[in-house]
Amino acid sequence: MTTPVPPSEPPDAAPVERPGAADFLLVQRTVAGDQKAFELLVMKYQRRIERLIGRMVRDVDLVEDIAQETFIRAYRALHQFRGEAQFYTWLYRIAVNTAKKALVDMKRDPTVSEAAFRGSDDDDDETYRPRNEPISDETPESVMAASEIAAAVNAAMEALPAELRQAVTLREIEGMSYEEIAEVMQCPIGTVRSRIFRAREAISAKVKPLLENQSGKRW
Amino acid sequence: MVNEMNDMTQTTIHEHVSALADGQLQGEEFAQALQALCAQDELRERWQTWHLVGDVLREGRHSPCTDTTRFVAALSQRLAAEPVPTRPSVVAATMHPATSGAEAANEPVFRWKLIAGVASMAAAAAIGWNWIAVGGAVPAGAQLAQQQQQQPAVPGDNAAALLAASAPGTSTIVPTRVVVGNGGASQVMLRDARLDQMLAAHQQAGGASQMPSGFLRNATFEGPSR
Repeated sequence: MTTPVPPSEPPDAAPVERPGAADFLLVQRTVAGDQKAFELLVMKYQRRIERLIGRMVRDVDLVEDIAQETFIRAYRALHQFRGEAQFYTWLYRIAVNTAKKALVDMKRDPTVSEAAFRGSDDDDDETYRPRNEPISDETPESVMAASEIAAAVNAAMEALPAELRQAVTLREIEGMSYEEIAEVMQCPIGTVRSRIFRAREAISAKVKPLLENQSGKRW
Repeated sequence: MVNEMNDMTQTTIHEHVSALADGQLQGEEFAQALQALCAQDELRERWQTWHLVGDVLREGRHSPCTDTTRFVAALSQRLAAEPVPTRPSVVAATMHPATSGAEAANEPVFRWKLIAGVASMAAAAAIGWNWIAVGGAVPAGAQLAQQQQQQPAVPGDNAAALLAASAPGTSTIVPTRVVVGNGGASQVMLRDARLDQMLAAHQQAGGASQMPSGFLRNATFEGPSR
Protein backbone atom coordinates (compact mmCIF):
# COMPACT_ATOMS: atom_id res chain seq x y z
CA MET A 1 0.00 0.00 0.00
CA THR A 2 1.84 3.03 -1.22
CA THR A 3 -0.98 5.53 -1.04
CA PRO A 4 0.24 8.59 0.85
CA VAL A 5 -1.72 9.45 3.96
CA PRO A 6 -3.18 12.95 3.71
CA PRO A 7 -2.89 15.46 6.56
CA SER A 8 -4.38 14.44 9.86
CA GLU A 9 -7.34 16.77 9.60
CA PRO A 10 -10.20 15.06 7.75
CA PRO A 11 -11.87 17.01 4.91
CA ASP A 12 -14.79 17.79 7.17
CA ALA A 13 -14.16 17.49 10.87
CA ALA A 14 -17.72 18.49 11.72
CA PRO A 15 -19.26 16.95 14.82
CA VAL A 16 -20.53 13.42 14.30
CA GLU A 17 -24.19 13.91 15.08
CA ARG A 18 -26.06 11.13 13.34
CA PRO A 19 -25.53 7.44 12.65
CA GLY A 20 -23.47 6.90 9.54
CA ALA A 21 -21.71 10.26 9.76
CA ALA A 22 -18.50 8.50 10.76
CA ASP A 23 -18.81 6.29 7.67
CA PHE A 24 -19.24 9.37 5.53
CA LEU A 25 -16.11 10.91 6.99
CA LEU A 26 -14.22 7.71 6.22
CA VAL A 27 -15.56 7.91 2.66
CA GLN A 28 -14.38 11.50 2.39
CA ARG A 29 -10.97 10.52 3.64
CA THR A 30 -10.80 7.72 1.07
CA VAL A 31 -11.76 10.09 -1.72
CA ALA A 32 -9.02 12.41 -0.47
CA GLY A 33 -6.57 9.61 -1.23
CA ASP A 34 -6.35 7.47 1.92
CA GLN A 35 -7.01 3.86 0.98
CA LYS A 36 -6.61 2.76 4.61
CA ALA A 37 -9.82 4.57 5.44
CA PHE A 38 -11.67 2.43 2.92
CA GLU A 39 -10.16 -0.70 4.45
CA LEU A 40 -11.71 0.31 7.77
CA LEU A 41 -15.10 0.40 6.08
CA VAL A 42 -14.41 -3.01 4.56
CA MET A 43 -13.53 -4.44 7.98
CA LYS A 44 -16.75 -3.05 9.35
CA TYR A 45 -19.10 -4.32 6.66
CA GLN A 46 -17.45 -7.38 5.13
CA ARG A 47 -19.32 -9.90 7.29
CA ARG A 48 -22.72 -8.32 6.66
CA ILE A 49 -22.09 -8.16 2.92
CA GLU A 50 -20.98 -11.79 2.83
CA ARG A 51 -24.08 -12.86 4.74
CA LEU A 52 -26.24 -10.94 2.29
CA ILE A 53 -24.57 -12.49 -0.73
CA GLY A 54 -24.65 -15.89 0.95
CA ARG A 55 -28.42 -15.76 0.83
CA MET A 56 -28.42 -15.22 -2.92
CA VAL A 57 -25.54 -17.46 -3.93
CA ARG A 58 -25.44 -20.90 -2.43
CA ASP A 59 -21.93 -21.56 -3.64
CA VAL A 60 -19.57 -20.68 -0.77
CA ASP A 61 -16.62 -20.18 -3.08
CA LEU A 62 -18.47 -17.52 -5.02
CA VAL A 63 -19.51 -15.52 -1.98
CA GLU A 64 -16.04 -14.13 -1.36
CA ASP A 65 -15.50 -13.31 -5.05
CA ILE A 66 -18.77 -11.40 -5.26
CA ALA A 67 -18.05 -9.62 -1.98
CA GLN A 68 -14.66 -8.57 -3.34
CA GLU A 69 -16.26 -7.33 -6.53
CA THR A 70 -18.86 -5.44 -4.48
CA PHE A 71 -16.20 -3.52 -2.58
CA ILE A 72 -14.23 -2.83 -5.74
CA ARG A 73 -17.33 -1.39 -7.39
CA ALA A 74 -18.10 0.62 -4.28
CA TYR A 75 -14.55 1.98 -4.28
CA ARG A 76 -14.82 3.04 -7.92
CA ALA A 77 -18.13 4.81 -7.30
CA LEU A 78 -17.17 6.22 -3.92
CA HIS A 79 -17.01 9.81 -5.18
CA GLN A 80 -20.72 9.54 -6.00
CA PHE A 81 -21.65 8.78 -2.39
CA ARG A 82 -23.00 12.04 -0.94
CA GLY A 83 -23.84 10.83 2.55
CA GLU A 84 -27.57 11.33 1.99
CA ALA A 85 -28.20 7.67 2.75
CA GLN A 86 -26.47 5.33 5.15
CA PHE A 87 -23.28 3.93 3.72
CA TYR A 88 -24.45 0.37 4.31
CA THR A 89 -27.72 1.02 2.42
CA TRP A 90 -25.69 2.25 -0.53
CA LEU A 91 -23.30 -0.69 -0.26
CA TYR A 92 -26.22 -3.10 0.08
CA ARG A 93 -27.57 -2.04 -3.33
CA ILE A 94 -24.20 -2.52 -4.95
CA ALA A 95 -23.88 -5.98 -3.39
CA VAL A 96 -27.33 -7.06 -4.59
CA ASN A 97 -26.69 -5.81 -8.12
CA THR A 98 -23.26 -7.43 -8.21
CA ALA A 99 -24.68 -10.75 -7.04
CA LYS A 100 -27.52 -10.59 -9.58
CA LYS A 101 -25.07 -9.89 -12.36
CA ALA A 102 -22.89 -12.77 -11.24
CA LEU A 103 -25.89 -15.08 -11.29
CA VAL A 104 -26.92 -13.92 -14.75
CA ASP A 105 -23.37 -14.38 -15.98
CA MET A 106 -23.45 -17.91 -14.69
CA LYS A 107 -26.66 -18.57 -16.63
CA ARG A 108 -28.51 -19.19 -13.46
CA ASP A 109 -31.99 -18.11 -12.63
CA PRO A 110 -31.66 -15.24 -10.15
CA THR A 111 -35.35 -15.17 -9.29
CA VAL A 112 -35.05 -18.23 -7.11
CA SER A 113 -32.44 -16.73 -4.85
CA GLU A 114 -33.92 -13.24 -5.13
CA ALA A 115 -36.81 -14.28 -2.92
CA ALA A 116 -34.38 -14.33 -0.03
CA PHE A 117 -33.91 -10.55 -0.06
CA ARG A 118 -37.20 -9.38 -1.55
CA GLY A 119 -38.87 -6.65 0.49
CA SER A 120 -35.84 -5.95 2.64
CA ASP A 121 -34.39 -2.75 1.32
CA ASP A 122 -33.38 -1.28 4.64
CA ASP A 123 -30.60 -1.95 7.06
CA ASP A 124 -32.57 -4.48 9.08
CA ASP A 125 -32.73 -6.94 6.24
CA GLU A 126 -31.50 -9.83 8.34
CA THR A 127 -34.36 -9.78 10.80
CA TYR A 128 -36.95 -11.60 8.70
CA ARG A 129 -34.78 -14.63 8.16
CA PRO A 130 -35.18 -17.72 10.38
CA ARG A 131 -32.23 -17.89 12.70
CA ASN A 132 -31.29 -21.51 12.07
CA GLU A 133 -31.57 -21.47 8.30
CA PRO A 134 -28.18 -22.30 6.80
CA ILE A 135 -26.77 -19.42 4.78
CA SER A 136 -24.84 -21.52 2.34
CA ASP A 137 -23.00 -24.77 1.92
CA GLU A 138 -20.66 -24.25 4.82
CA THR A 139 -18.25 -26.92 5.95
CA PRO A 140 -18.84 -28.42 9.40
CA GLU A 141 -15.52 -26.94 10.53
CA SER A 142 -16.50 -23.39 9.63
CA VAL A 143 -19.90 -23.77 11.25
CA MET A 144 -18.28 -25.10 14.41
CA ALA A 145 -15.72 -22.28 14.48
CA ALA A 146 -18.47 -19.71 14.09
CA SER A 147 -20.42 -21.30 16.90
CA GLU A 148 -17.38 -21.25 19.17
CA ILE A 149 -16.80 -17.58 18.51
CA ALA A 150 -20.41 -16.75 19.24
CA ALA A 151 -20.29 -18.81 22.44
CA ALA A 152 -17.11 -17.06 23.55
CA VAL A 153 -18.64 -13.63 22.98
CA ASN A 154 -21.77 -14.54 24.90
CA ALA A 155 -19.77 -16.08 27.76
CA ALA A 156 -17.54 -13.02 27.98
CA MET A 157 -20.60 -10.84 27.99
CA GLU A 158 -22.07 -12.76 30.91
CA ALA A 159 -18.82 -12.42 32.83
CA LEU A 160 -18.75 -8.63 32.55
CA PRO A 161 -19.48 -6.39 35.52
CA ALA A 162 -23.08 -5.20 35.42
CA GLU A 163 -22.34 -1.58 34.47
CA LEU A 164 -20.07 -2.61 31.58
CA ARG A 165 -22.58 -5.18 30.33
CA GLN A 166 -25.39 -2.67 30.47
CA ALA A 167 -23.37 -0.02 28.66
CA VAL A 168 -22.31 -2.31 25.81
CA THR A 169 -25.79 -3.82 25.55
CA LEU A 170 -27.42 -0.41 25.23
CA ARG A 171 -24.90 0.53 22.57
CA GLU A 172 -24.56 -2.63 20.47
CA ILE A 173 -28.00 -4.18 20.79
CA GLU A 174 -30.25 -1.21 21.48
CA GLY A 175 -28.26 1.12 19.23
CA MET A 176 -28.37 4.06 21.63
CA SER A 177 -26.05 7.03 21.35
CA TYR A 178 -23.57 7.80 24.13
CA GLU A 179 -25.75 10.70 25.20
CA GLU A 180 -28.80 8.48 25.54
CA ILE A 181 -26.83 5.84 27.44
CA ALA A 182 -25.50 8.50 29.80
CA GLU A 183 -29.05 9.57 30.48
CA VAL A 184 -30.22 6.00 31.09
CA MET A 185 -27.26 5.10 33.28
CA GLN A 186 -27.17 8.54 34.93
CA CYS A 187 -23.46 9.07 34.43
CA PRO A 188 -21.26 11.39 32.33
CA ILE A 189 -20.70 10.66 28.64
CA GLY A 190 -16.99 10.14 29.34
CA THR A 191 -17.88 7.33 31.72
CA VAL A 192 -20.10 5.74 29.09
CA ARG A 193 -17.29 5.89 26.58
CA SER A 194 -14.88 4.31 29.06
CA ARG A 195 -17.30 1.54 30.07
CA ILE A 196 -18.03 0.55 26.50
CA PHE A 197 -14.33 0.50 25.70
CA ARG A 198 -13.52 -1.69 28.73
CA ALA A 199 -16.35 -4.06 27.89
CA ARG A 200 -15.05 -4.45 24.36
CA GLU A 201 -11.54 -5.05 25.57
CA ALA A 202 -12.74 -7.76 27.95
CA ILE A 203 -14.79 -9.55 25.29
CA SER A 204 -12.02 -9.23 22.70
CA ALA A 205 -9.56 -10.83 25.13
CA LYS A 206 -11.73 -13.97 25.17
CA VAL A 207 -12.33 -14.03 21.42
CA LYS A 208 -8.86 -13.25 20.10
CA PRO A 209 -7.34 -16.70 20.73
CA LEU A 210 -10.14 -18.27 18.72
CA LEU A 211 -9.65 -15.82 15.88
CA GLU A 212 -5.93 -16.50 15.78
CA ASN A 213 -6.62 -20.23 15.50
CA GLN A 214 -8.89 -19.60 12.54
CA SER A 215 -6.57 -17.15 10.85
CA GLY A 216 -6.86 -17.36 7.08
CA LYS A 217 -9.73 -19.84 7.22
CA ARG A 218 -13.41 -19.38 6.75
CA TRP A 219 -15.16 -19.14 10.10
CA MET B 1 6.72 7.93 34.81
CA VAL B 2 7.14 8.23 31.04
CA ASN B 3 5.88 4.68 30.56
CA GLU B 4 2.79 5.44 32.65
CA MET B 5 2.06 8.49 30.54
CA ASN B 6 2.53 6.50 27.36
CA ASP B 7 0.17 3.81 28.64
CA MET B 8 -2.40 6.42 29.53
CA THR B 9 -2.09 8.07 26.16
CA GLN B 10 -2.38 4.72 24.42
CA THR B 11 -5.47 3.84 26.47
CA THR B 12 -7.00 7.18 25.58
CA ILE B 13 -6.37 6.54 21.90
CA HIS B 14 -7.92 3.08 22.21
CA GLU B 15 -10.91 4.60 23.91
CA HIS B 16 -11.20 7.16 21.17
CA VAL B 17 -11.04 4.47 18.51
CA SER B 18 -13.79 2.61 20.35
CA ALA B 19 -15.90 5.77 20.26
CA LEU B 20 -15.02 6.20 16.59
CA ALA B 21 -16.32 2.69 15.90
CA ASP B 22 -19.61 3.86 17.37
CA GLY B 23 -19.60 7.07 15.35
CA GLN B 24 -19.56 9.05 18.60
CA LEU B 25 -16.36 10.97 18.16
CA GLN B 26 -16.02 14.48 16.79
CA GLY B 27 -13.65 17.27 15.88
CA GLU B 28 -10.01 17.02 16.80
CA GLU B 29 -10.48 13.72 18.66
CA PHE B 30 -11.97 12.21 15.54
CA ALA B 31 -9.03 13.35 13.44
CA GLN B 32 -6.48 12.01 15.92
CA ALA B 33 -8.22 8.65 16.34
CA LEU B 34 -8.56 8.20 12.59
CA GLN B 35 -4.95 9.10 12.05
CA ALA B 36 -3.85 6.57 14.67
CA LEU B 37 -6.20 3.94 13.27
CA CYS B 38 -4.83 4.31 9.77
CA ALA B 39 -1.26 4.19 11.01
CA GLN B 40 -1.25 1.34 13.56
CA ASP B 41 -1.98 -2.26 12.60
CA GLU B 42 -2.64 -3.15 16.22
CA LEU B 43 -5.48 -0.61 16.35
CA ARG B 44 -6.88 -1.94 13.11
CA GLU B 45 -7.02 -5.41 14.63
CA ARG B 46 -8.99 -4.02 17.55
CA TRP B 47 -11.32 -2.19 15.18
CA GLN B 48 -11.92 -5.47 13.35
CA THR B 49 -12.53 -7.49 16.51
CA TRP B 50 -14.84 -4.88 18.04
CA HIS B 51 -17.01 -4.88 14.93
CA LEU B 52 -17.09 -8.68 14.96
CA VAL B 53 -18.19 -8.63 18.61
CA GLY B 54 -20.87 -6.07 17.74
CA ASP B 55 -22.16 -8.24 14.90
CA VAL B 56 -22.34 -11.30 17.14
CA LEU B 57 -24.11 -9.39 19.92
CA ARG B 58 -26.68 -7.95 17.52
CA GLU B 59 -27.38 -11.22 15.74
CA GLY B 60 -27.00 -13.56 18.70
CA ARG B 61 -24.80 -15.86 16.70
CA HIS B 62 -21.94 -15.73 14.24
CA SER B 63 -22.32 -16.76 10.62
CA PRO B 64 -19.26 -18.25 8.95
CA CYS B 65 -17.52 -15.84 6.61
CA THR B 66 -14.14 -15.21 5.07
CA ASP B 67 -11.35 -14.28 7.47
CA THR B 68 -11.43 -10.48 7.44
CA THR B 69 -7.65 -10.10 7.45
CA ARG B 70 -7.30 -12.32 4.40
CA PHE B 71 -10.24 -10.62 2.72
CA VAL B 72 -8.81 -7.13 3.25
CA ALA B 73 -5.35 -8.20 2.10
CA ALA B 74 -6.75 -9.61 -1.16
CA LEU B 75 -8.89 -6.54 -1.67
CA SER B 76 -5.98 -4.19 -1.03
CA GLN B 77 -4.01 -5.83 -3.81
CA ARG B 78 -6.85 -5.20 -6.22
CA LEU B 79 -7.41 -1.66 -4.95
CA ALA B 80 -3.75 -0.86 -5.51
CA ALA B 81 -4.40 -1.19 -9.24
CA GLU B 82 -7.42 1.10 -9.08
CA PRO B 83 -7.20 4.88 -9.50
CA VAL B 84 -8.16 6.95 -6.48
CA PRO B 85 -11.91 7.69 -6.69
CA THR B 86 -11.47 11.44 -6.94
CA ARG B 87 -14.46 13.75 -7.03
CA PRO B 88 -15.22 15.29 -10.47
CA SER B 89 -14.37 18.81 -9.25
CA VAL B 90 -10.94 17.64 -8.21
CA VAL B 91 -10.49 15.93 -11.57
CA ALA B 92 -11.45 19.13 -13.37
CA ALA B 93 -9.01 21.10 -11.26
CA THR B 94 -6.17 18.73 -12.00
CA MET B 95 -7.00 18.69 -15.71
CA HIS B 96 -7.09 22.49 -15.93
CA PRO B 97 -3.44 22.97 -17.02
CA ALA B 98 -3.95 20.64 -19.99
CA THR B 99 -6.99 22.56 -21.22
CA SER B 100 -5.73 26.06 -20.48
CA GLY B 101 -4.93 26.66 -24.17
CA ALA B 102 -8.58 27.34 -24.95
CA GLU B 103 -9.20 30.77 -23.45
CA ALA B 104 -12.59 32.36 -23.20
CA ALA B 105 -13.27 35.40 -25.34
CA ASN B 106 -13.89 37.47 -22.24
CA GLU B 107 -10.58 36.60 -20.62
CA PRO B 108 -8.87 39.78 -19.41
CA VAL B 109 -6.07 39.42 -21.93
CA PHE B 110 -4.51 42.43 -23.68
CA ARG B 111 -4.85 41.07 -27.22
CA TRP B 112 -8.61 40.71 -26.86
CA LYS B 113 -8.82 44.34 -25.72
CA LEU B 114 -6.70 45.39 -28.70
CA ILE B 115 -8.94 43.54 -31.18
CA ALA B 116 -12.08 45.02 -29.63
CA GLY B 117 -10.63 48.54 -29.80
CA VAL B 118 -9.62 48.24 -33.47
CA ALA B 119 -13.05 46.86 -34.39
CA SER B 120 -14.79 49.77 -32.63
CA MET B 121 -12.66 52.33 -34.43
CA ALA B 122 -13.31 50.68 -37.81
CA ALA B 123 -17.05 50.71 -37.22
CA ALA B 124 -17.00 54.40 -36.25
CA ALA B 125 -14.95 55.28 -39.35
CA ALA B 126 -17.33 53.41 -41.67
CA ILE B 127 -20.37 55.17 -40.24
CA GLY B 128 -18.69 58.59 -40.49
CA TRP B 129 -17.56 58.03 -44.09
CA ASN B 130 -21.04 56.98 -45.11
CA TRP B 131 -22.56 60.11 -43.57
CA ILE B 132 -20.08 62.41 -45.30
CA ALA B 133 -20.58 60.74 -48.70
CA VAL B 134 -24.35 61.24 -48.58
CA GLY B 135 -23.81 64.86 -47.55
CA GLY B 136 -26.64 65.10 -45.12
CA ALA B 137 -29.27 64.44 -47.84
CA VAL B 138 -32.82 63.70 -46.91
CA PRO B 139 -33.51 59.98 -46.80
CA ALA B 140 -35.40 58.33 -49.63
CA GLY B 141 -38.54 57.80 -47.62
CA ALA B 142 -38.74 61.48 -46.74
CA GLN B 143 -38.14 62.41 -50.41
CA LEU B 144 -41.10 60.33 -51.54
CA ALA B 145 -43.38 61.88 -48.94
CA GLN B 146 -42.44 65.38 -50.05
CA GLN B 147 -42.97 64.41 -53.68
CA GLN B 148 -46.47 63.09 -53.06
CA GLN B 149 -47.48 66.25 -51.31
CA GLN B 150 -46.22 68.45 -54.14
CA GLN B 151 -47.46 66.54 -57.22
CA PRO B 152 -50.82 67.75 -58.68
CA ALA B 153 -53.51 65.45 -60.00
CA VAL B 154 -52.97 64.58 -63.63
CA PRO B 155 -55.96 64.05 -65.93
CA GLY B 156 -55.78 61.34 -68.56
CA ASP B 157 -56.27 57.62 -68.80
CA ASN B 158 -53.02 56.06 -69.87
CA ALA B 159 -49.91 54.96 -68.13
CA ALA B 160 -47.61 57.13 -70.21
CA ALA B 161 -49.37 60.24 -69.07
CA LEU B 162 -49.20 58.98 -65.56
CA LEU B 163 -45.49 58.39 -65.74
CA ALA B 164 -44.94 61.76 -67.33
CA ALA B 165 -46.98 63.42 -64.66
CA SER B 166 -45.04 61.66 -61.93
CA ALA B 167 -41.77 63.23 -62.97
CA PRO B 168 -40.34 65.25 -60.07
CA GLY B 169 -41.17 68.88 -59.97
CA THR B 170 -43.60 68.80 -62.93
CA SER B 171 -46.95 68.59 -61.19
CA THR B 172 -48.75 68.34 -57.86
CA ILE B 173 -51.06 65.50 -56.96
CA VAL B 174 -53.92 66.24 -54.67
CA PRO B 175 -55.91 63.24 -53.46
CA THR B 176 -59.64 63.70 -53.93
CA ARG B 177 -62.32 62.85 -51.38
CA VAL B 178 -65.03 60.55 -52.67
CA VAL B 179 -68.17 59.54 -50.86
CA VAL B 180 -68.80 55.80 -51.22
CA GLY B 181 -71.20 53.39 -49.64
CA ASN B 182 -74.42 51.48 -50.07
CA GLY B 183 -77.70 52.73 -48.74
CA GLY B 184 -77.62 55.20 -45.90
CA ALA B 185 -74.15 54.34 -44.59
CA SER B 186 -71.90 56.50 -46.73
CA GLN B 187 -68.17 56.71 -46.18
CA VAL B 188 -65.46 59.04 -47.39
CA MET B 189 -62.55 57.53 -49.32
CA LEU B 190 -59.41 59.28 -50.51
CA ARG B 191 -58.81 58.65 -54.21
CA ASP B 192 -55.53 59.08 -56.04
CA ALA B 193 -55.93 60.00 -59.69
CA ARG B 194 -52.63 58.42 -60.69
CA LEU B 195 -53.63 55.10 -59.20
CA ASP B 196 -56.94 55.18 -60.98
CA GLN B 197 -55.19 55.87 -64.27
CA MET B 198 -52.73 53.10 -63.83
CA LEU B 199 -55.41 50.61 -62.94
CA ALA B 200 -57.46 51.63 -65.95
CA ALA B 201 -54.45 51.22 -68.22
CA HIS B 202 -53.75 47.74 -66.91
CA GLN B 203 -57.32 46.60 -66.58
CA GLN B 204 -57.24 44.51 -69.75
CA ALA B 205 -53.87 43.00 -68.96
CA GLY B 206 -54.89 41.67 -65.55
CA GLY B 207 -55.68 37.95 -65.61
CA ALA B 208 -57.93 36.08 -63.30
CA SER B 209 -54.98 34.23 -61.94
CA GLN B 210 -53.16 37.42 -60.99
CA MET B 211 -54.40 38.06 -57.57
CA PRO B 212 -53.08 41.59 -56.91
CA SER B 213 -54.49 43.13 -60.07
CA GLY B 214 -57.84 41.39 -59.74
CA PHE B 215 -58.13 42.45 -56.15
CA LEU B 216 -57.28 46.07 -56.92
CA ARG B 217 -59.66 46.14 -59.87
CA ASN B 218 -62.58 45.02 -57.75
CA ALA B 219 -61.81 47.64 -55.17
CA THR B 220 -61.63 50.38 -57.75
CA PHE B 221 -64.94 49.50 -59.40
CA GLU B 222 -66.73 50.43 -56.18
CA GLY B 223 -65.96 54.09 -56.83
CA PRO B 224 -69.06 56.15 -57.75
CA SER B 225 -67.08 58.43 -60.08
CA ARG B 226 -66.93 55.73 -62.77
